[in-house]
Amino acid sequence: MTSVTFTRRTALSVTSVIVVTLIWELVGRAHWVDPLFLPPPSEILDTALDLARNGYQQTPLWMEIALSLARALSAFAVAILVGVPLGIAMGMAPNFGALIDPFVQFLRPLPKLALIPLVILWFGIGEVSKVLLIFVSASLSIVVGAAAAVGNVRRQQLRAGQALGAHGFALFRHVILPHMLPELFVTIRLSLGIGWTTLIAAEMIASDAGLGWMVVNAGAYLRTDIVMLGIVLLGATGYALDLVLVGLQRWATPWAGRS
Amino acid sequence: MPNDLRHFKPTRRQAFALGVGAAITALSVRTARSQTRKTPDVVRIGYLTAPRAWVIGKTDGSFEKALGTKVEWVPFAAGGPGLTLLAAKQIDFAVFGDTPIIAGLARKLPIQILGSPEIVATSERLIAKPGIASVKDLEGKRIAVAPSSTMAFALEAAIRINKLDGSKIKRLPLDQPATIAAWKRGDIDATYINGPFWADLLSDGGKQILVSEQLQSDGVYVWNSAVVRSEFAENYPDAVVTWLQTVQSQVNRYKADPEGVSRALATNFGAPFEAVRDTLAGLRYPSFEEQLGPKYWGSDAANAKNAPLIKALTDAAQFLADAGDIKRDDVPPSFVPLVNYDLLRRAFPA
Repeated sequence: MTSVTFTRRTALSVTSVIVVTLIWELVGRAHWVDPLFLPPPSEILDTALDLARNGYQQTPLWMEIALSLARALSAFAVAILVGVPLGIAMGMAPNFGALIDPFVQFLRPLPKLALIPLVILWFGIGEVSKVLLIFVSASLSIVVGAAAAVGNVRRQQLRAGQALGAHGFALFRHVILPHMLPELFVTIRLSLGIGWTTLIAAEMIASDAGLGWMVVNAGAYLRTDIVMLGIVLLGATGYALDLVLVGLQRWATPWAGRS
Repeated sequence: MPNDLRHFKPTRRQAFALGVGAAITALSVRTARSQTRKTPDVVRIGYLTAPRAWVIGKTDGSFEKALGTKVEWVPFAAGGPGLTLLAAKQIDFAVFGDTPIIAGLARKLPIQILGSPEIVATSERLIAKPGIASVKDLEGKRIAVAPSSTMAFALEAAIRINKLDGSKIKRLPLDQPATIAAWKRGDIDATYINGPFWADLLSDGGKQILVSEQLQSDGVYVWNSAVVRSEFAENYPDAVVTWLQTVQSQVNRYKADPEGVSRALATNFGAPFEAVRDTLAGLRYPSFEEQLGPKYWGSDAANAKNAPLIKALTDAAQFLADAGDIKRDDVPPSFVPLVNYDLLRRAFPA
C-alpha cells in the first residue's frame, strides 16, 4: 500500500463519515424522524457535554469509559497470556490438542449471557465475575486461532528448518513463530472485538457504572440520546483499540504479506 | 393530442393531490372529533409476565367478547421494555409500574394514564439478614435491588424518609434470580424484592423489615397504572371505555374468587399456585369508582391538583430527575393533563 492511496482512502472514509452525520442531523432537524427514535448528532453532543460535566448517575463520563476499558483490557491481557501459549501448545502437540479441543469447542459458541447466573453463583457479583466473562469469550477464540496458526505453517518450511538443524525451541523461534505471527495478530484483533461485545453482558452483573451498563440503564428510561452516545463511544473505543493493534502488527511483523 | 395531454397532466396531478390532501384533512378532523362507534381491527394489550389479576381475561377471551374485535396479548418482562413497545406502536394498552411510565411521559411518549388498578401493598418487601432489625440499621450495608424498578424507587424513599445517609449504603443493581444467588453466597445484607421471590429469602432466615404499603403514610405510593397510546385513544375512545370496564370486571372476578383466579393464572403462567396467590394478595385493587375520588386521582381534571397520586407522580418525577434518570427540563409541569379523566369518567360515571 503506497502512501498516496492511503491518504486517498483516509480522505474517502472521513468524507463518508461527515456526509452520513450531516444527513443524520438533517433528518432530525427536519423532524422526518421523531428524535425519540433517532436523536440527531447535535443532541447527542449536548448529552455528551452534559454527562462530561455532570456525570451519569454520579459517575463522570470519562470514568464510565475508563472503567469499561479497564475491565476489557485486563480480561484481554489475561486472555492473551493464557490463550496464546495454550493454542500454540495445542497446535504443536496434536495429542494434547485432542484432549483440550472438545471443551474449547463446546464453550466457544455458548452465548455468554447464559453463563451469568453460574458466574454469579461461583464468583459472586464483584469485578472478578465481570472480567471473567470477557476473558472466557476472548480467550477461547485466541486458543482456536493460535492453534490454527501453528497448523498453517507449511510443512516444507518446517522440513527446511529441520534440515538446517533447527529443533525444539530453535525451530519454534526461527521458523514457526515468524510464520504464524501475522495470522496470530488477525486472531487477536478478532478476539478483541468479541471480548468488547461481551462488555454489555459483563456489565449486567451488579454494575452501577461502565459504558455497557450506561446503555442498558438509559434504555430502561427511554433515554435514547444516552443510548446513542453509549453506542457511539463503544464503537469508537473498539475502533481505536483495533487501530492500536494494527499499528502493533505493522511494527511486530513487517514481513507479513511479503513471503 | 399528445401535446394536450402533456399540457393537462400537471393540473390533473395537482387536482388529484388537492383531492387527496382534502380527504386526509377531512379524515383527520373527523377522527379528532370522532364520536362515531368505530371498532379497531385489532387491540393489542401489553402485560407484565408476572401474574396479575386483570390478566385472567386473557385466559377465556373476555376482552375479545367485550371489545367485539381481535385481541393480541403481548408480554414484556419489565417497565422499560413496555415503554419501548409503546414507543414502537406495537401495543395499544398496558399496565405497569408508575416510575417507568413517568420516564416515558418525560420523554414525551404519546401515552395517557388511565388510573391505577393495582396499588403495591405487601407484594414488594425489604428483607434483611438476621441482625438487621429495622431500616435504621441499613447504613454500612449492601442492598440488592432490581435496577429501574418500583422497588429501587421505594428503597430510595425509605432511605430518605428514615433520614439515613444514602452515601453509606451500597446499592447493588441485581435482578431477582441474581439477588437470590448473591443472598445465598452472602454477598448482600438486604434486598428490596417482589413476590414470590421473598418467600425463598424468608424461609432462608431472612427478616422482613418493611413493606411498600408502610411508605404511604409519608405520601409515597407505588402502583401500576393502565396506559393507552394517545393516538389509539383519539381514534377509538369507545374501545378505551370498554377496555377499562373489562379490566374492572376482571378485577371483580378476582375479588369474588381469589383462589380460583389464582389457580387459573398459575396454570396459564406455569407458576406455582401458592406463589401466584401470594403475589396477587400483595396488591390492593381500588375500583375505578374509588380511584376517581379524593383518596387517589380526584373526581375529575378540575379536582385533581391535590389528589394524592397526582402529587406522588410529581414527587417521583422529581426523584427520577435527582437520580439523573430523566432530564430535569423534561419533567412535565403538571401531570393532570396526562391523565385521561374524560374517558375514565365515561367508563365510570359519577
